[in-house]
Amino acid sequence: MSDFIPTIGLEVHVQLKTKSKMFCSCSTDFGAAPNTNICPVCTGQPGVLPAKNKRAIELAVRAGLVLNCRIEKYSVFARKNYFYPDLPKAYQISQYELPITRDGFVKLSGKKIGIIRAHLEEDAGKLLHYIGSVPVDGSLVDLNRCGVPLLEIVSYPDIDSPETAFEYLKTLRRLLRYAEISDCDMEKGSLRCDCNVSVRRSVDEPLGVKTEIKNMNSFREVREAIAYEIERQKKVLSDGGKIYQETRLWNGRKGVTVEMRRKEEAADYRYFPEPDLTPIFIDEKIIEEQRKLIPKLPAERKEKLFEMGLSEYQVDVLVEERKLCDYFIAASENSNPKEVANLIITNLLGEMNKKRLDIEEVKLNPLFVGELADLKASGKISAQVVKRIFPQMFEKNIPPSQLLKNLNIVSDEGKLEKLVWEGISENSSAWEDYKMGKEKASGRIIGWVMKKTRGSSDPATVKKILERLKDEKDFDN
Amino acid sequence: MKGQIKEKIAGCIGKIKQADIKIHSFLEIFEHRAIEKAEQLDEKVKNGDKQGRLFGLPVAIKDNIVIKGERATCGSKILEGFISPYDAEVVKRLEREDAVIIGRTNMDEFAFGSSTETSAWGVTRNPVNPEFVPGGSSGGSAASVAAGFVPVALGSDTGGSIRQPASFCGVCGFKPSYGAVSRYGLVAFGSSLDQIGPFAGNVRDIKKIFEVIRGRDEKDETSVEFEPVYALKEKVVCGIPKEYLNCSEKVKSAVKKTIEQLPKNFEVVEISLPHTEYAVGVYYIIAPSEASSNLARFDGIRYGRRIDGSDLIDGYFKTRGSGFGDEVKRRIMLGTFALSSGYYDAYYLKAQKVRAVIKRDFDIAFKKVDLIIGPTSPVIAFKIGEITDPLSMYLQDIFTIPANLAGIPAISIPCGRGEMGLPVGFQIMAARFNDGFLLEAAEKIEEAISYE
Repeated sequence: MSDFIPTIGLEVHVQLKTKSKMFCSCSTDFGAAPNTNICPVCTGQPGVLPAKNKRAIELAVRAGLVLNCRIEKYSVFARKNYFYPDLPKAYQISQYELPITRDGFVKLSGKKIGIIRAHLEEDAGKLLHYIGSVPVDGSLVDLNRCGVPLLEIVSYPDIDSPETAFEYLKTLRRLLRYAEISDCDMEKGSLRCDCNVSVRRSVDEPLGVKTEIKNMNSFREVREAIAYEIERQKKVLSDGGKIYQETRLWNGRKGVTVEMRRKEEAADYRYFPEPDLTPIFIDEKIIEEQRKLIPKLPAERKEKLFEMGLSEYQVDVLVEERKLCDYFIAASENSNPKEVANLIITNLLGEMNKKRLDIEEVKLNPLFVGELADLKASGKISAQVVKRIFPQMFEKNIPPSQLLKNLNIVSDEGKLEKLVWEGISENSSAWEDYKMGKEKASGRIIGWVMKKTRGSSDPATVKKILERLKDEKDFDN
Repeated sequence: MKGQIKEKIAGCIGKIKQADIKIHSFLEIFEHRAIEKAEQLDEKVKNGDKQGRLFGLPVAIKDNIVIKGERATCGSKILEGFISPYDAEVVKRLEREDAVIIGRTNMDEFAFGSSTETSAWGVTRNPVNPEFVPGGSSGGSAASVAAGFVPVALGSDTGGSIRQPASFCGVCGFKPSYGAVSRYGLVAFGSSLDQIGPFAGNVRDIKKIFEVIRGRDEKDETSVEFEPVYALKEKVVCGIPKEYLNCSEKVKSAVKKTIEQLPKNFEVVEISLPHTEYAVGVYYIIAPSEASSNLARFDGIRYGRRIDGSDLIDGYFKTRGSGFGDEVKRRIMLGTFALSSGYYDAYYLKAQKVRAVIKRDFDIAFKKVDLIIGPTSPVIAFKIGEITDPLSMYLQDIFTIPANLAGIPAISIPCGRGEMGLPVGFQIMAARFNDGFLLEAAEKIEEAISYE
């Protein structure tokens, strides 16, 4: 098989973070009972008219800024006409010739992916063919999603591998979450991605015939589907076959793409400007307002975190979510950043996971985490103590100093050594065994010290002292 | 004491029940609703409560304006059984001012027509002579006022659907400026052209209704708030477009006589609207294009008629195939074609450009004149079944379409009679949002003219 160069472009739909739908006042809440977030407008009753959601337009402007796009002073909605039971008006209100933003880019590590346009549109409803696992007679229509505001972000075909597509999606998601434009949650349908894929033998050749792949449920599936499709196209072409312009569906279970429809069967959407809506006018004031609402973005934060001496892994985890990163920055303001990063990644995320909480729901004052980090960094307490007290700090928002006092944690090594000596004399046979090399025998002495201090001493420290004493003894001998 | 309003409304309903058999202007009388409202109003009288501006006024509503809890069919089988879950904005405004909605009136199917003959529920007859059509598409509303069943009715006008039937039936019919009245709840035909407006026996009543229904509605982005100025200038300059004189002899002479009788401070000059000849062509691209999209929602899935098919597509074919009449199908096909990729630029886009040119004709004209006057229709009412060729029917609207394309206000008032006593209508147009001025002038002209 000769070598092929893949060309990939992505169309990403994200749900804009608004309380109400694009053209009516229905709620956009996810997970409501079917057909409860609906009204005459979003169900396309005869005679209804749409009215623009101002918030959605503002978020589109903000997205345009984050994606380095040009914000158009004048843009219009258009009707995309096609029949389907999940589309009550039989047209989707979208933008066609004059989108709200265009010509931007997203920076990845080492390269830029161009953005052709990002435009506003409304979502369609959902067809249900099963209730639970029971197939229904015919199909059921749920119009809750109908009219939910979406931003369609169309990239240039600047992507040359499944990995780059994956990185692009992750970067895009991070940007949109940072600027609070979208939750970008694929499981909740607030992010969807279609991929256009083609291959050619050399860069001197024109682009190959592309196929569009749909129906991926995670970024990982997007990467897999693209990889599969590239290999499929390579094989077809190497075998002397032909690629048809078609839409293919990804089958995640089988790990393959399957033909859905060819271009000849594709609908003619008969776009025309939506006469029921006035044009969108964007002035400098709106743009400036939105610009002010954009926080420091991941790229800039990453640099700062590296400067603080964090590892690449730590930076990646902390930068992924803006609120987590904000938390880190607050916690590390006057404390050891590496230790703070450790505590957040290991202990804080662990507790959040256990309790299924988002970072917004965390009550623990980040300064307390900083305090704990310094205690740990200076060797005053061990990892075990951290492990023991963190859940309580987390739950009750208590500073570590207070917890340590309450627990009467014995962290003074001089005081501990005295106790260890007492333990040795009380358990002399164990001490002898330990000195003979029976590691397990140390447990009895450690246990005695723990008991004596009612658990407020750190077993690791005790062990450390014990080891030291043994070595000193060896030396004596 | 028995309620006066209830008595009046019961009388009105009784008259319709008895006499509308010959006319068929109403598709349904909302007897229960109307009587209930009348009783409420009588209660208001008894309690000395504040009375709305249209207190106890019976109003008929065209079958394409929806009323919560009532049927609306747009004269089509496809909406058979549809009951609206909400009120049109105009209905809310009328009822807020204590008007009594009497019933819904017949119309050409989806307002596609100029004779009310394409209604799925049978033709409406002209009260002046039942052999003749009442015009259309708001023929039911025009006839209900002409027959004296109701003093006022609402219609909708996309290319002349208020003014032409007003002209044929001998009543007043007003199409306000585009944006003056909320379209929320008017089943869309040509969204960029549609406008709701009143029919009445005189201009004073037209004004009264217009004052209640007009004004910005946030549910309709294209609606506009403006304060009409009901005042005339000392000298009113009227332009007669030379392109509007190509009409039947009787119509021409009635219009000429009217012009001779205009009030003394009205000066008449000849003007030109040079692109008038393209108006009908432009209209028959834009209106069906928008209609083809607006009517796509009637798919049998959520409301109205539904015929199940062997699969989804077959169900669409069966439902729409049997639910729509020929004229509706014709216009859906015209519009679908005009919007198709490869034809869009040559048809829809070109039509929009010509529309802008036609608008400019008016802008230029209104720099020189205050009003544009002429016949509403080139002909008087024709016999039921007389016009079968769609193109001849389309040409009915040659003088009324330009006002819709330009978004300007226009009114038709009766100005004479032609053969068999059939009425002739006189059309008066003004610049956009000069609705107040237009109605004031129309009232003066109405006062000044007399005819046999």
